[in-house]
Amino acid sequence: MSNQSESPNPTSSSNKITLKTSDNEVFEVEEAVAMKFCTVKQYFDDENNNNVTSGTSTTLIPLPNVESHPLAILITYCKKHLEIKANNADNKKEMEIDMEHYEREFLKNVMPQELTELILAANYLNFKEALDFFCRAVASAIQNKSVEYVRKFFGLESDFKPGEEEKLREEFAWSFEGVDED
Amino acid sequence: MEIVRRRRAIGETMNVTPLARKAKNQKLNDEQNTDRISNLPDAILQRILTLLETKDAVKTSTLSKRWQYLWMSITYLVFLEDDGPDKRKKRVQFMNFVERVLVLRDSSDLTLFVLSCDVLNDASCINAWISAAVMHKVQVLSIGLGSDEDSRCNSEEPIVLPHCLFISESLTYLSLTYFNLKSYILLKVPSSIWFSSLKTLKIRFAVFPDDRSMQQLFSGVPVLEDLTLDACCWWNVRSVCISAPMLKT
Repeated sequence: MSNQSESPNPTSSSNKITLKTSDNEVFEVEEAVAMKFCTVKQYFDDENNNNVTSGTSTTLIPLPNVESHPLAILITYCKKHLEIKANNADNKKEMEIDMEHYEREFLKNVMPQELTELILAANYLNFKEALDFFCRAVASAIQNKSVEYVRKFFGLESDFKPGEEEKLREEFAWSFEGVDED
Repeated sequence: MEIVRRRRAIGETMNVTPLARKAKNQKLNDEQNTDRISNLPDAILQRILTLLETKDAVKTSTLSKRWQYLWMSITYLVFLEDDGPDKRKKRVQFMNFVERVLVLRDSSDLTLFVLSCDVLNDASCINAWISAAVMHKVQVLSIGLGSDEDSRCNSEEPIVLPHCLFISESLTYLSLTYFNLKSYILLKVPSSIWFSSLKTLKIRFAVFPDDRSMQQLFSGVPVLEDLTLDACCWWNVRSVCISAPMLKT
């Protein structure tokens, strides 16, 4: 698996696919990477079925629900994913170890808000492995944390009326005991 | 034209709110800490909740109104009574919590149910919970039951697990552990047992009562592949024939 980074100038090649984000940035990615995004794959397959005549494909696939920032991260993640898979084709255990190591490092550079954006993008692109990974990351980040911490982590504010939240807390009192330090 | 149509099609099928943000906003920083998580579709938020221990999933109900009822469709339930110094004090809270979660959650089938707690005087409650899990077609069931050293409860009397557990059609994995007991606990099983889907059975720290009931247990596991009997007492059992044609380990 070669691992070239995407070039800003699309050069027509049969195994490259061009993706255009909602903020009008263009990414050229290898077919293997693009095919991990099921939404793109579906589009690509449909397009190929409709245009049997076009030999060299220079398809530009619009992604109106994905911005360039999360897409760039997803492409990097996807490439690494494919690379690790290719490097350990015959050893599943080694692959899992490498993947875990990469994912741990990956999360060090991701802000909580970015994580949400990545989930949205991965969900839209239907990129299963990434979606699984990001959901796991969110879950482990909020595991055994206080409600206040989780609110801050997600950047959300309570819209309960005075008293409503307290009532809920009383009802589920046991779950509010013994949380980790924020 | 084709692209416009497809663009709409992609946007619509995925059911994602378009993020109408300007390009200059794309660089994230601390000030721009807006609530985006709540924009995620229910299915994804529920997926995250499913990865949490149940108490953490339920706790998200107090984040905001958007989250209040989301946890109710989780299909993994994990209840672990903690072993802290004020354990007895928290007992009532723990019991209430499990009860409330089981009553309030929606009617979806359960994938996994893990319960680890002391029995004390609540055997009938615990049995009702296990029955509830079985009624919701639970596939993976792990039960750890114990009794506190200094509790005055009668630990000699075995908890008799509900009959419905032993004829569950959905169960593929069952783990039964009796822990932290002064004396081993007698594993009482009903006279009719048929685990039609059970592939893995683990029993730890139990006393097997007699030949006949053991024979019944091991004749009611037609597709069992993995059997673990750990630190169990066989002194009441002279011989038993395990008839599980698919058994691997």
